[in-house]
Amino acid sequence: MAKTTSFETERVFTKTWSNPNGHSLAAFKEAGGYKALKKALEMDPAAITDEVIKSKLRGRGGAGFPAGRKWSFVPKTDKPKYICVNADESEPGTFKDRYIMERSAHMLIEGLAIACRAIGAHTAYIYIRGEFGLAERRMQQALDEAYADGILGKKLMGTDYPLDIYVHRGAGAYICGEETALLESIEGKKGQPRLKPPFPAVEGLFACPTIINNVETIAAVGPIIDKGADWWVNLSRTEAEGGTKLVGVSGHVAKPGVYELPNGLTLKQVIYDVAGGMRNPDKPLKAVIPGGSSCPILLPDELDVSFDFDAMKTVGSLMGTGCPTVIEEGTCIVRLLKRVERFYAHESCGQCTPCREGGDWLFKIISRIEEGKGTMEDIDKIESIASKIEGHTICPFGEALAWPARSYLKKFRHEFEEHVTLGRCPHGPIPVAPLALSGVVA
Amino acid sequence: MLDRNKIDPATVTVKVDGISVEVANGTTVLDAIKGLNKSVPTLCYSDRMKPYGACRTCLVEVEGRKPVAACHTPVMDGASYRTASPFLTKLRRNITELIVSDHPLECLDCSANGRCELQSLAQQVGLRTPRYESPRTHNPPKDDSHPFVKLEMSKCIGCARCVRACDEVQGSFVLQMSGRGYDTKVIAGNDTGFEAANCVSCGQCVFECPVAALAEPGTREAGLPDQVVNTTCSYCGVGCSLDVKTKDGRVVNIEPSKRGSANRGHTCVKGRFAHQFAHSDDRLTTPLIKEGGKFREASWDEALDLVARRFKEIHDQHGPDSMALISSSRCTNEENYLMQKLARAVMGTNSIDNCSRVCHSPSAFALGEALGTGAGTNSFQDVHLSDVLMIVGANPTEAHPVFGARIKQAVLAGCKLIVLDPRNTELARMADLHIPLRPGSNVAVINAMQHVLIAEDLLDHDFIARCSEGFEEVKATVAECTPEWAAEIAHVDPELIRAAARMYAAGKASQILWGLGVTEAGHGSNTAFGMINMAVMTGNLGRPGTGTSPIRGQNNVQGASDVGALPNVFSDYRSVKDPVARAEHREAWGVEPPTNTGLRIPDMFEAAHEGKLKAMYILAEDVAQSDPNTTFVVGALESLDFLVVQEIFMNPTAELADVVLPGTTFLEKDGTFVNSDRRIQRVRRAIQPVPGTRVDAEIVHEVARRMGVDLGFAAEDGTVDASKVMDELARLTPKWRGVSYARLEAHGFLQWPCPDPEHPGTDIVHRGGEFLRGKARLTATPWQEPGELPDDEYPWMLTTGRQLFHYNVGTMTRRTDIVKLHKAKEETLRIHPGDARQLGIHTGDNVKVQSRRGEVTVRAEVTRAANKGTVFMTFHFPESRTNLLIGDAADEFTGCPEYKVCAVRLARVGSAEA
Repeated sequence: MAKTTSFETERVFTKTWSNPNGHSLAAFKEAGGYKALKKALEMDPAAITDEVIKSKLRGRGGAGFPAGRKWSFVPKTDKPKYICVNADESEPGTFKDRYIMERSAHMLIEGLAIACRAIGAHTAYIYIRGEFGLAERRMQQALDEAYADGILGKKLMGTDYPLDIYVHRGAGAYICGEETALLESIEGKKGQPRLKPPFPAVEGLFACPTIINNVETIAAVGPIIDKGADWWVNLSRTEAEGGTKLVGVSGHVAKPGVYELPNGLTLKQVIYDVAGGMRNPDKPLKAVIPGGSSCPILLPDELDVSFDFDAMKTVGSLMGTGCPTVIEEGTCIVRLLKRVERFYAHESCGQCTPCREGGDWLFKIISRIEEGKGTMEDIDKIESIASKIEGHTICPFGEALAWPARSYLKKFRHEFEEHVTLGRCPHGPIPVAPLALSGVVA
Repeated sequence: MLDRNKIDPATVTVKVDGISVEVANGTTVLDAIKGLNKSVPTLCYSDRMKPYGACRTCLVEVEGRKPVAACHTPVMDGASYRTASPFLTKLRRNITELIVSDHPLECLDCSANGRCELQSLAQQVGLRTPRYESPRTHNPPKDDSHPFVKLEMSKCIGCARCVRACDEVQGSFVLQMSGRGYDTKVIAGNDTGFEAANCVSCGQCVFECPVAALAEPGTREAGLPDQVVNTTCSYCGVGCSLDVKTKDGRVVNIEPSKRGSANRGHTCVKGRFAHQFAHSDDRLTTPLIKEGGKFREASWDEALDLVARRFKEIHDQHGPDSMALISSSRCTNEENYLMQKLARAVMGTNSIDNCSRVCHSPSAFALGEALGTGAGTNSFQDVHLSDVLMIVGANPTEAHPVFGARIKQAVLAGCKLIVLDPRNTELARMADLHIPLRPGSNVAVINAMQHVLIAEDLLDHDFIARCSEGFEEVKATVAECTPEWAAEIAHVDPELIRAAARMYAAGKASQILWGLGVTEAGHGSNTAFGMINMAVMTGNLGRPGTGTSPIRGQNNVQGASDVGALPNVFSDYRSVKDPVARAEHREAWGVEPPTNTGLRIPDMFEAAHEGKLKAMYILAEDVAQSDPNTTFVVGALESLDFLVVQEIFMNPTAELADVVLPGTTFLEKDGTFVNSDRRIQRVRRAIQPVPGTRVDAEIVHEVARRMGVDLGFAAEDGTVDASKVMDELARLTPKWRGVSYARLEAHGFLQWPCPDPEHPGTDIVHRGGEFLRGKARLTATPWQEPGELPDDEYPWMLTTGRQLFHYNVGTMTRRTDIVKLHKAKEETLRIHPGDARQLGIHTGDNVKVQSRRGEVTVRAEVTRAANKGTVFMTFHFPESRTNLLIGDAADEFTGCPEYKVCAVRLARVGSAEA
């Protein structure tokens, strides 16, 4: 449930969330749903794309690429075109798309239908993370309602434009959130990223032009078409992007949760004013991972910055998915890094060397250091491995592996050294939780 | 970001290490680097397969950008690349270190030692011991279950070259990368081991493996070979180029040659792994003379003198017509040339033939008559340029596996496929249209297809008018041959025939390929004529991707015929009556060539039974086993006064001989073979002849010498100089005049016609509709039933052929490790489940198969690879004696027997447990 804040904004994504049946077609229509699609079907497809470009809507899966511009890359060919919605929300610390699917499924369908119309696609897929049971049920239920109501199918909203939308479930691989691995997975192959070029907009699903967008990005399209790009731009408090944003705050804050906020608040405001500050007054803020576990870590004095795609780069990190994880004093950074790298080593697809081998070695070496069995050379090996992974892999997964290691080490090197000199973890014994990976018990 | 709607330029200019180079747009950085004769390290890259980008050792620096993997990144206009720098060396060293970190460092004990790509990369980047000391966690058990492929996953570096070779070269899709991350591993099928995963044992995975995760058993123990000899495979007609690796005078292993023009680094299980026969303990190693019904060992001098004396005696007493020779399509062109020269110049008879008589004589005949050259019109590489392939009576994925794999790749890439075959072959299962016609009904279906072409006006009128003759006659003949009429005869849906004709005609480049299911299925010449008609009528000749080509069965069956081991022609298919050819031969040989009507193989057996034929010299052909109506053949050989058989192993034909001369295998001799697409390629000696044996050319030469004629090719040491034989052969063969050993060494191969030393050879004959015979002849082919039809007593049709793991009567393959494969163990009768149910037969049951000529008993294999009403057997297993069943009905023009059409009755005689 979205929390109210002192930064109250017009609700876009969360409009129907206070209604227990807000996910139903009836509730969506009552709140003005599918008006935008009707409007879009009367527009020139190019005008839809132009409106989205004007709205400064940026990709909310983490890359922040302008959505309208992405659509404009689709070549004019006779080949079928596809849109795949990336609903494989798997980045640790990120939890926003699932709520859209659970509570505003029709919003996603409407946005998707408009986007399909804009690029000329007659088939779309929503690729939902395998673990998302409720999201998948709600999404399918909404699709069934839309078909029954004559919204989708051979005649989109009664026009001559056919559109089919399918739900495709993932089977538990983080890498399938990488757009080309997602395409491989839909095609029934092993989820592994493709070599680029060709880029999906030219040669994507079934070798046809394909647009892959995040759930939140597509969900925003309906309101933008309905109320116009200017309205969307005005919702934001930053030049970097228009609109509101679903921000999922987790970690050691007083009020963790998903908040709909205008774009352009500072990270400090998000943590202290929106999420109620730290949960334990004795344990002040130690660090923040701003947008999903792969983003470089930030120190308390780096938070007075607008939480948007452009400004976050100025402090050497990223907005990512817009879901910060807050860490209090007393947390072992080495253990945190081990936990993060265990995840990435486990999720590496195994295709290219740096990440397949490097991920596992990072995890092994960090584990060794945490147990107090590491050496000073081991600390240097972390940087050595991570720097060889970053920028040298087929897909951006390599960065997801390398950024945490390099940034934690840069900002908390003394903690790693302390483990080595003490010969144990200064934060107490290692929890017995099973961290088995590749036959190594950490 | 690129503008997608901008038209890309054709070429771009980039810099590599400061050197400016213009390359085609879309070229990879690696290809641009290679174009400058530079290199970067690679592990997962293989020039035969799509880039994979996995190892990341080929990373190069790009000015102003982050490094890119050279193997898969297209060049960017104006970009500047650096292939070497201290930064790159360190980066590559660190990546190599990651690969090596989990690789067992047991190099001395490894079969890849000395040829390991990881080992040389580590040396190149200066990696010694990896820094990541930790117990190795990947140590899965080795998989030793397969006789030719050993899987040792602890050594795997995850480059997926094996998987891609299986997919992109062989097309079997057996291997895959399973699991993820650090636990990624290669599995066969559903991790059930190779054999259960339908592996065809082609060995491409082993060939591609840069380390020794996949290795050939035995190579580790042998160490590095001391000699590598490039030669040409002696199994089927594809003509794969092989690198034979030997040590201490013995073959260690055989690998495909990447430079091979026919195979491009591919081989099948036979060419690659079935070579142990050469060193088999039961090789014939001494001449044998039969005395009192028993063989005794003899010296070469004694045996050769006896052969020469008896031949001379019989010749003098009964005249040249009492002599006949069967040459061998397994032997070299030079040996075949010598055999026909022995027949014509020494014995004075045209009675020489070779086994093409029983396989593709109808193809050679029809192609020669209709187009002017007795060979396929196009080349293997053309299948990638065809948009429709029509395959008739051929099972290339088993009988010509390397070509079959290429056809599969073409079909996977979108080429349409029409298959006419009574069996559900692998290609039939992949086909867009499969016409499962009844054995013996080819002419009816081909006539009906011509009917559809004409009735629906799917013709190339201009081509017909400009380049052909005889159209009206064909039109009249097929006028009544409606698809409905043919459907009655062939037991198929008439709409299938219509659809196939339309699909064939719709192709921009349609090609017809056929096998023995055409030539050995009754009226083979007429079927071939009909298919040539189809190609002429639609203008599908003389262009890339078009044509009409037989897929020839044996390594040199094309060559044996090309060089004149046939009764009616000299080399180049020039008639023995042709005055020009006669004059040339008279001048070269110094004798008048014979004028008698030479006997064809079936005629020879007839003549022997009639007592007219007294002596035969059979070179490397097991006629007592491979020819039809075995009882009749054996009787013929037994009635001869004198029979000489030259062989590498004792076999049923040699058992009947008066003198057996031990010859040699292809591994022990020099010469040339001609493959199925007219490609003349060198055969080179890899091992010395096994002690006691002699090279076949030398034996033939010696027989002639002892009969008083020097054929003229002896080198100083008494051996025969094969290159000299080629020189005379080329001089007497107009289409080969440009062929010499020097040119073959320089070019690797020459495709005839190659009429002069400057001519590059001919990949596509009849280019531009300029046919070698002038105009293409359209030939009317009236329908006739095959010689053999089912009736109430013999209600089932038996058709015969090869399977992947064996070759012909198994003389070679059954003496190799191939017999360790489950699928290569015994003969079975393949029968459709519906038919099996009707007869109460289960897989493994013994079944009595009875034809009008004899009966055999074999185990049943119930499979959907057989169609209802038609059963299938191979002839690889002498003990099952398939050919005992086959009749001697034959093609009216060439005498080619109907191996593929045999009416039988079936009865279960024992259960699976029996």
